[in-house]
Amino acid sequence: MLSQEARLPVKDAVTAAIDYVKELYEGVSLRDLLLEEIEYSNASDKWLVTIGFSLPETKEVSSPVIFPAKTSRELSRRYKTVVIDAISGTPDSMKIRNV
Amino acid sequence: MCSATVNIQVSSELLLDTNLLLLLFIGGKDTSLISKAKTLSAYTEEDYELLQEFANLNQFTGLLTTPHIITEVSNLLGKERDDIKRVGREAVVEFLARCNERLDSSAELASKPEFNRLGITDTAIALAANSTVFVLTADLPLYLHCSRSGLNVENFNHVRQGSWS
Repeated sequence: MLSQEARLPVKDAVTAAIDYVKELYEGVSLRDLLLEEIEYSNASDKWLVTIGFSLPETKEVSSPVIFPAKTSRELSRRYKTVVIDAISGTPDSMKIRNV
Repeated sequence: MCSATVNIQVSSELLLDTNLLLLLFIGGKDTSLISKAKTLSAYTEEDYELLQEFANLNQFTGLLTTPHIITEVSNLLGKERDDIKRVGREAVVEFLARCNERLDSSAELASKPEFNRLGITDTAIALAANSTVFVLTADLPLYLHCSRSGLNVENFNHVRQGSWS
């Protein structure tokens, strides 16, 4: 287990996680990128950083009886947990955070 | 608006989730112990100061807790080295002397639909949260549950991130 002084600072871990999400969604307009949860694994010396963001999605909404089908845009929020190595500061992986 | 302030509609008691209460207890005794506490790995002295600022700026009418939160805090303190354990337990005693405590039976909590998803401590928090209680948490499932239920809640991680910019 690294001492707090030896490990990547929390702010840098969050920045690395947000940059990683942006990189993976390059070209997509991500909104409200927020730190939602953060945990430090003493066992593996990794930061587990959960980032939330919204992206505009097109969703078909049909009114089956009277009105014709219409399309509406709605925002849905996504949550991803990025694992950041606390020694190198680089992202190891990203997974969906189901909540 | 300062990042540590929130819109509180009515006079509210502040209810802190387990990890934030632990941060308050250990940091309140000696901020240099925060970096040495195994159970506060994700927090810094700056976070303690921000938490204090949040509590002070928002003029809460008092503090509220539950036996489940205090049990979790006590169990986490049990994992710390002796000096942190000692000051943390002193802080628990001082805190309990000046806060209100809400007790719901375990049977009632376990009967709630959110129990399966949130567990007993967070179900107790969700049940305690109402128009006169403001919940501050760093736990995403609890935050989302309270937020989607229209309860007064803030994610401390949003407050932290706001303070960095």
